[in-house]
Amino acid sequence: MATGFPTKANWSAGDLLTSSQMDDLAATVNTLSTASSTSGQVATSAGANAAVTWTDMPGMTLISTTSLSGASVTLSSIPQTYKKLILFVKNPINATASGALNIKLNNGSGAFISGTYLSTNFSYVGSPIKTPANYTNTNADQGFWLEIDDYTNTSGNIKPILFYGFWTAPDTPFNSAGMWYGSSAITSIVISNTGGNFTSGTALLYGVR
Amino acid sequence: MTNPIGRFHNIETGEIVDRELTDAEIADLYDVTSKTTTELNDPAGNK
Repeated sequence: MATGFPTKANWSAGDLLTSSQMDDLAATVNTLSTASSTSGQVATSAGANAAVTWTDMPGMTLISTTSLSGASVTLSSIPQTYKKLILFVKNPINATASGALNIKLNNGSGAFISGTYLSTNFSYVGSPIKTPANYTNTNADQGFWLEIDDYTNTSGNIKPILFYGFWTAPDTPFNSAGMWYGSSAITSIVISNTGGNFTSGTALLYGVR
Repeated sequence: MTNPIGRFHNIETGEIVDRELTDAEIADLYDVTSKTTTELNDPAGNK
């Protein structure tokens, strides 16, 4: 048999070949083993002739879903395994009065954001991240989207954020960008409504790899 | 007089607890005092 041909002719799907079985005693053929992988992962090259590594598929993963209730909603023990967090709060309703929505990262007040709604500019320095106007307490067709990049970084003092959303009465979109000051990794988020206790709504937390 | 109820969702364990907020948590919740960017950059006031 010619050098380089397998010594076994009838292989089955899924068979794992060793170097000797492949008559490749110099081990110049790299085989792909799933031994260290988990379901859904993809193979990534680690360089020429190096064994592949298995990593989770890049993309956006829904980490948690929380129904809004009470004076505040705290998301804690946020996993530190993503590049970016996205918090989507939709249909926030409260029982008492219209109010602005506040978001505190690590329960702090480190926002420096600036943006616009309609023709109005707004800016917050050293406060919670907050909507620039009150959300109507009885209307569900509202929400906001908060992106926090580099949220696990502990070597710098700023984390880039994008914050945008929509409220009603009158229908108004807003957008803003800025930084969150703080050298700690973001491990918790507190959401509250200055108008009163939440009675319904949902907080969806996503992680982006 | 009782304090308002807050919802606490531990993402790692999945546990969701609704409980009365402590006085300290309420103080934090409504602490919206603004700071300057200098103060934000130097929370310990060392610069």
